[in-house]
Amino acid sequence: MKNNWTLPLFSWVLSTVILEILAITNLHTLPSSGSKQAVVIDEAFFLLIYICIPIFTLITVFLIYSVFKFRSKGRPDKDGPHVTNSRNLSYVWVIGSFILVAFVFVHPGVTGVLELRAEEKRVPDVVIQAEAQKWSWKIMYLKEGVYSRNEIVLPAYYNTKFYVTSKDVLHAFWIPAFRVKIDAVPGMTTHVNATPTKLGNFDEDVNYRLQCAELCGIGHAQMSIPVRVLSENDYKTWLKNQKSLR
Amino acid sequence: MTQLKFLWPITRGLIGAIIGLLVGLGVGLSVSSLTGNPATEINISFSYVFALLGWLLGVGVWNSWIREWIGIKPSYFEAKNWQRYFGFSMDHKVIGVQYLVTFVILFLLGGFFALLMRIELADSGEGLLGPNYYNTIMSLHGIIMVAVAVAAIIGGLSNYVLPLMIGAEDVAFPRINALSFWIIPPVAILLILTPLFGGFDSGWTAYPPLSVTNADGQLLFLFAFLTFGLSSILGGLNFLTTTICLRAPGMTWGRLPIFVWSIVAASIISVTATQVVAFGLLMVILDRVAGMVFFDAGLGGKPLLYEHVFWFYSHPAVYIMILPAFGALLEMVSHFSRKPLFGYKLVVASFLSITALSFLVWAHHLFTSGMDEFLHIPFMAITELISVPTGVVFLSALGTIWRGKLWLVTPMLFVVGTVFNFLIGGLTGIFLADVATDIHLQDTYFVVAHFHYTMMGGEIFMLFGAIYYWFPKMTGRLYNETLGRLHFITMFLTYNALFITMFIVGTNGMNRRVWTYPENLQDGNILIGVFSLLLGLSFIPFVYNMVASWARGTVSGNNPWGATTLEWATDSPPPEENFAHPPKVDEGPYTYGQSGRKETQATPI
Ligand code: HEM
Ligand SMILES: [Cu+2]
Ligand SMILES: [Cu+2]
Repeated sequence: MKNNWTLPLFSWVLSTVILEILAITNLHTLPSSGSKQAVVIDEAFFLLIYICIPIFTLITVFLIYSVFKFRSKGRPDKDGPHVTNSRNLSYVWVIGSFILVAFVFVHPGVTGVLELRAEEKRVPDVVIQAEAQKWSWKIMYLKEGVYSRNEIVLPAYYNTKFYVTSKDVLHAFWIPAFRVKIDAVPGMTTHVNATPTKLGNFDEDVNYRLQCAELCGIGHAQMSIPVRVLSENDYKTWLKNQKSLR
Repeated sequence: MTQLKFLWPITRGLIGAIIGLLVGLGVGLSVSSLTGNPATEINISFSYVFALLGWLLGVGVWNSWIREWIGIKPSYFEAKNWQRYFGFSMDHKVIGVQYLVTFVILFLLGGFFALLMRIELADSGEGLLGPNYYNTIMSLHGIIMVAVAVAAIIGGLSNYVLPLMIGAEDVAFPRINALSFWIIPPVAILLILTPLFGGFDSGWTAYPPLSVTNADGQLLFLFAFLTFGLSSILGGLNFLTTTICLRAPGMTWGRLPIFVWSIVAASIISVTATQVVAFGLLMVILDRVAGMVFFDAGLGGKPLLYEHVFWFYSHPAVYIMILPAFGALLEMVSHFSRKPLFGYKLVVASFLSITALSFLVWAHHLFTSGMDEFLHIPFMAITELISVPTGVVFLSALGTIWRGKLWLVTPMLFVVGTVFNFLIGGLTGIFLADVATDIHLQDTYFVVAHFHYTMMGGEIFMLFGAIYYWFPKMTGRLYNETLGRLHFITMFLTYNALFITMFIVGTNGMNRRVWTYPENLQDGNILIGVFSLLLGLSFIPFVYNMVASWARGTVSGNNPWGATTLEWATDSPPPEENFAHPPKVDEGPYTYGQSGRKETQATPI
């Protein structure tokens, strides 16, 4: 009987270790991270991956092991044992999964939400209204009285608050490099914060784009404009130029 | 002529539909001339409603139902062998097959639409469909597959086997059962007609204001969804009542096969949640047709309201899809492991807690919708809580396999594959329940891959597994085992290759419902396209196997699997009244390994 357990338990540990190492060293599926918010979100993402790996391997290893170990050639001529339950195993499983869920809920769940909210509660340095309309964006720099239709320009390291509105149907404001996303809902003003942590622009990295992420009709896929993050000085120059243009 | 008599009900239905259409058009025209509102949508609405009534009356509701109310002798549809499937039959076994065949065909159609999408997406620029057609094809694929996932196991398989499994002669309301099937063809026809009316580009979610302001095809979609919901409510009602009232003597609740429990749980959701989405759809229809402004923000309407109403149904609806799949999985795992189901009571408890909790998590679809942020944490908590009862399904499956005597025929291979697929579907769900990660992943291909892992990897895999399992019951013949395994292996491998890649392009920044995307995602999308094509090919052995084996497969005998539940205690296929002698039950469903166990749950007579 003992025999049945050692091999799968050993393979479970081994495959978990291998997958964890691979995940830590080789998993780069997220776009480049360009904002404080992205750091929080990516941390949560990777933590969840690390938590999921042992669960994945536990069930996969036991599944594969059982299939090979307990298979019979052709139609089984005998029944398996009449085991209908195991109280202890059930308790361990249910309580164990409950504890795991509680853990994931607290961290990265609640902690992630609180970190993002803390960023949001700070007094913003730049306030922008992004107005969506089939199928374009209008970016308004509220304090400076400047607007732009073909790109968003932001200063690095400053906390920017976006107020998002829509003039017709649902749209969504999404910048993959910043990870932040919020719907544009007619009749409502929604908001989201992003604090760029480095310079960047669309030409070098396609994830620097403001992409509509809520289906809004035929032009939805192409409803996207470049994002450019500049140093403080360049940003000020850009603002000045915009003002003189008007 | 007499050979074609079996087509008479459908012909009568079509004639009824045409008469209804004309009457409806007349009513529509008079209404619109009175109100002076734009006429097209008013005409479409009246025409459809009257055509639907005409179709139903013609196809059998008048003859087999209403005539009785007004004191005329009803006339029932009668035909032999395969011709039985073409009329208003009230035999649950006929209706089950009607459902199954219809939905497998719809599944293949939906799959064809998916291939069209993948051809467009093989290139980051404009391809086969372009912006004008992509959204409509995508939306059609979505709603057709949702319908398949909601109805194929419940309406098809459980219609056939549930009454047998509980030792009943038929379902509680055979006429309602027939009605809920004959409502489906108009749904399919409406959907297929949408491209002629400008298509509908709102996805299957149909969020207003887009769904209020786009082409007339949207209205057809709304009516189709509404009609389908009606069918789903009627079906749920029937299975609940049947299980409550028609169990054979001795078939206590504790002796129900687990599949029956899963259908009970799913039916509870069908009869309580569906009318909520129906109301949401109706509000959109009224906005379009009657000029109401429920969702017109300019006039005080609230688009966000629809999202809540929609997901209040549509989240529970994913459990209407997956619970029967869990039931089928655990049912088969016991029979093919030759061991009793591990933790039967715990599983029943978890099915019922999933049913209850499924109503309390809908707003996890709305983390980025702009709803009050106060709601984020509670909805994250309850969503994550659902994984506890869901985890019990894995415990039970693994606990049953452990030290069993596994018989790795095709249905059991599908069981093993589904456990693996659903594991990935469930684990990736945690990323979408977590508010922080969902902010990035919402509306990307990560979500698309996730719900395909649950709906296709979970539900559809189990649909096919269960079709193989009950094929001998339904036809009295064996399917071809080699072809069955070929189907499983090819489907399993290509399916996983395809949707794993979707996770990667999704996290990488590809948003969903798009026909064009940044070039850096090109490679991944080409891979996905190739795998989809291979996945599509994997269904060829299935279709061939089913058709050929049904026509001339080896005769199976009554109980080819040696399974213990009641449906195997009668002939395969069963006689019209299901059991020659009413069965009596005196033990649980899974008696494997008990010393001196009987062949099946029933007392031999
Ligand atoms: C043959 C294999 C399949 C392929 C290649 C495939 C591919 C796709 C693609 C490319 C999309 C569009 C995603 C987007 O842009 O939002 C999609 C959407 C969808 N698919 Fe599939 N799919 C397949 C099978 C299925 C199955 C079996 C189901 C359900 C049981 C299903 C349900 C859906 C749903 C509900 C949507 C969402 C549509 C919407 O956004 O309104 N698919 N699928
Ligand atoms: Cu859009
Ligand atoms: Cu949900």
